[in-house]
Amino acid sequence: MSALEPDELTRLLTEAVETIRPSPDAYRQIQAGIARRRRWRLPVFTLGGMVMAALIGLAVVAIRPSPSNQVVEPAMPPVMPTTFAEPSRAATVPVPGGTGRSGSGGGGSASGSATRAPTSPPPTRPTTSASSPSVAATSPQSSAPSITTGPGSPQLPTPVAKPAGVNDIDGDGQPDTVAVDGTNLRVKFSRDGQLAQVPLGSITTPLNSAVVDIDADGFGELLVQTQAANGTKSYALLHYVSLDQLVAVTPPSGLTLGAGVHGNSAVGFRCADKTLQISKGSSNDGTQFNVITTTLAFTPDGLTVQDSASSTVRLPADSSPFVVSCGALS
Amino acid sequence: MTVVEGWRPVPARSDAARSDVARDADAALTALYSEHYRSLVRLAALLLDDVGLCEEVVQDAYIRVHGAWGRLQDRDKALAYLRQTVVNLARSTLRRRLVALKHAPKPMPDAASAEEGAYSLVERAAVIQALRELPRRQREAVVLRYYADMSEADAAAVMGCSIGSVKAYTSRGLSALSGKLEGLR
Repeated sequence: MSALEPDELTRLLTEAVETIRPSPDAYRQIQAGIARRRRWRLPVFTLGGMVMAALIGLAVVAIRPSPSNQVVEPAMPPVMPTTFAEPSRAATVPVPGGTGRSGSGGGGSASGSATRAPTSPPPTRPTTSASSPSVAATSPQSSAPSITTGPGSPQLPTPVAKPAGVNDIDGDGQPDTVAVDGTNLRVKFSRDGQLAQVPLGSITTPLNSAVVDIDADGFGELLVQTQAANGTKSYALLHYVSLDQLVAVTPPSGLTLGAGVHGNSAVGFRCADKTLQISKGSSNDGTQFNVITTTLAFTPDGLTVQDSASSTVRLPADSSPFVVSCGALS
Repeated sequence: MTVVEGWRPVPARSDAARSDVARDADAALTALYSEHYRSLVRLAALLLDDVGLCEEVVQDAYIRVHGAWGRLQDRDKALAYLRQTVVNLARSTLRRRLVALKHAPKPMPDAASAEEGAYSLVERAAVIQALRELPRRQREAVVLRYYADMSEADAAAVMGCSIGSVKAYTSRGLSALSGKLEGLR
């Protein structure tokens, strides 16, 4: 078999296709094809652009996070009603004359020599109770913790000013109306006109109450006198925890919100520096009292002990710490 | 430049509205048509199984090159680009024809025209019949090397393979053609 030479193959291929002649209208067909391509270019590009824009829009809608309607809780959120069991240790409050170091001043309104007893924040949690349906009594005798179930994480509106204005509980800058109906306290909120009813064990009449923004969070706390017996007045403290909801807050175990001297025991409290200071005194002769002043602050867990100090007060020579000094309340 | 048969100049109003690139593409297309259309049709006739499709393939290649004229980096290589487009379109056409032949019966042939008479001459050439029996790549290598007179490097660029592959395809194709044509002699 003789091999095919390249030149011979080239000649054969050239001769084979030599008879092919292009058609006379070939160029016209090319021009028509170009015109057709040009004519469709704009609609095709427009359609493609619209499809691309639609795809981008869908992608943006798909990946865009949904607008959050959650309310940002303040730095110091209000009491979060929880269910808990009170630990059986009440020794977190130092006793006078304990292993403290000497300090100056009584840390409160008490005068005279004072012995400061620093304490670590106690593990005890204050008692909180929801405004409905049942509210633990806030009388001095009912300091035992109650077990309540809260509605969940509270949501607060945004306050207009910090601290809150006069008689402004809901933080809208307008005063709210407080009224009493038997043992129920009725608060009409100016924010939305809603009426909150808080059942208390008892309420003195005429109503003795004051709105004080103790923690300066823009929502006023409501102090209401509940009882007056044996020269001692008892008070309830109501905290605004969420929209149109008030919660009665009780201090930690062993402390009560009251004012007055009864025999050899005395109690009083004052609002100062975003804290609540409760002074509890005991005496042997009814004139010289050993005073333990406990400073409480609002935390997410409620009223939490921050500090405690002891002092000695002689009545009636020294100014009495066993009174109420919170806003207009006396 | 030779005058193209059937060429109609674009109206002046439309011509003014078109960009310089489009005008350049039109002029280049006219030049390419005048000088290379016939050889490209013949090249396509050697690559395709059906000679009647060769003009359609080449015209489509011209249209695509015209559309992509603005994207050409080196316009001096427009002929190479056009030739490569013809080869690619011939491959696609062959692929489509294979699929169509699998799924559709071949239609009855119509009455032969004068052009088809010329095509039938091509169909009857022994070298064409032998060429069509070659594998596609060997056929492309042989046609590009010995009909289009391209170097191995240019053929490799058009075929999208290495120079060594072109050498191998050419050698095998040439041997196969020798055997087939020897039998026909």
